[in-house]
Amino acid sequence: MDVLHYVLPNSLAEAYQLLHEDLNNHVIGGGVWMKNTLKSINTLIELKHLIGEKIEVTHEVIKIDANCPLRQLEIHPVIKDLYDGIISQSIEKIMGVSIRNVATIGGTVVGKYAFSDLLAALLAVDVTLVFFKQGRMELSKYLESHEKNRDILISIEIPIKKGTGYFHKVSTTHLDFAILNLAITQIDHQFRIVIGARPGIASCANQAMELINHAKEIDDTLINEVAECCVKELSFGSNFRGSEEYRMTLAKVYVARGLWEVIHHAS
Amino acid sequence: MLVNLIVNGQPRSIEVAKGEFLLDTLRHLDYLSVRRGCDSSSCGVCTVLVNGKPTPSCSLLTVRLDQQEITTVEGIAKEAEKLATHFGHEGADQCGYCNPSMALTVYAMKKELKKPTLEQIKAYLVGNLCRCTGYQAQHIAILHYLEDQS
Repeated sequence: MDVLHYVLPNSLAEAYQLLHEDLNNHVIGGGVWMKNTLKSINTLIELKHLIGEKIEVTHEVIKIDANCPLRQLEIHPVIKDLYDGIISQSIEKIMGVSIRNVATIGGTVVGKYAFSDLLAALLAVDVTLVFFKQGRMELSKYLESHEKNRDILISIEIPIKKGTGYFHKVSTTHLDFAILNLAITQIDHQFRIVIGARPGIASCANQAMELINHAKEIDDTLINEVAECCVKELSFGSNFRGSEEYRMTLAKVYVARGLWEVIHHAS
Repeated sequence: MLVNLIVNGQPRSIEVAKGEFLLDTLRHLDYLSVRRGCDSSSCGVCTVLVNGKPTPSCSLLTVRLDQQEITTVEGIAKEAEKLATHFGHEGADQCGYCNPSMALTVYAMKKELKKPTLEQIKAYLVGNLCRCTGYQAQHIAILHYLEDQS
């Protein structure tokens, strides 16, 4: 990999300006995936001296600096307990500890990786992103946008509320990407259902969520209807990891299982 | 670009290309215990400790590591020898290619986790591939090493 310039800007404003000078200028996060995706870089913009790796917990929110390594998130005592620990669970099966010591939450979010397990969990707990120029933005809005991001992510905020969660990754081995991943939460009596690696990027099943959130009574029939609805509204596809049909079958089973699990944990 | 590393406690200054990875830098500096395997952060044989934490040297740009502490297996010689003895007793050694990175990861785990269970050990070692042994003998050897107070 060729890197022509490596720059530590004096401010985020300077970094932002540099980023916009050339499409081949890039901000570096953990950098683990960079080698596999970029052949040559004009200017590599280093932000580790401007954006830290702290995790700050208040009564209402966990504020995470964009440069926080995944391993720090995974083992943080508050994050381990929040929503049945689904954020930690989504991280602990991402390759090995050494990769998780390097890969950052900011790099994961900005990269919009379709295979990401963490994105599914973050979407299910409705996190807010804080960008340098655009300010605050819901993760769902960011993931839905087809525009290439040219802003600088500063931090990620996880709301602290009462709620339960379920995360499941289907993969052949620890080191492999997910064939499918699912994150389901019930926070403030509202369900969120997220399915990722379909193989498309993690998405909320909005119609299915509406169906269960407006139901007067939850029983097996409703849960199966919700699972069916997820499969109808989200797109599934085939690749060498699994077929569309296999993914749809998995999704139906795990959505139903996950919903019952969050309901039982809440009661 | 001139980078000042601290390798096994010794300051090392080296001129590197901006796109050079730590694995190449360390091998240029003759730390040949740092091995190249998949070169894409999947196999674990290039693992070194950066500020005490296991890190894939094949995927870390050297320019980012100015003034950082790098530890290769030579830097934990006594502990590595102790682990090697337990590996020997259990017949957990074959080609030895993964041993330096395995020793560094086990050393970091010992510092990070208190009395880890076998399941925790297995989880910590994910991504440290050994193509010879099938892991069972290694796990037994690691359990003995962790109990070893000598």
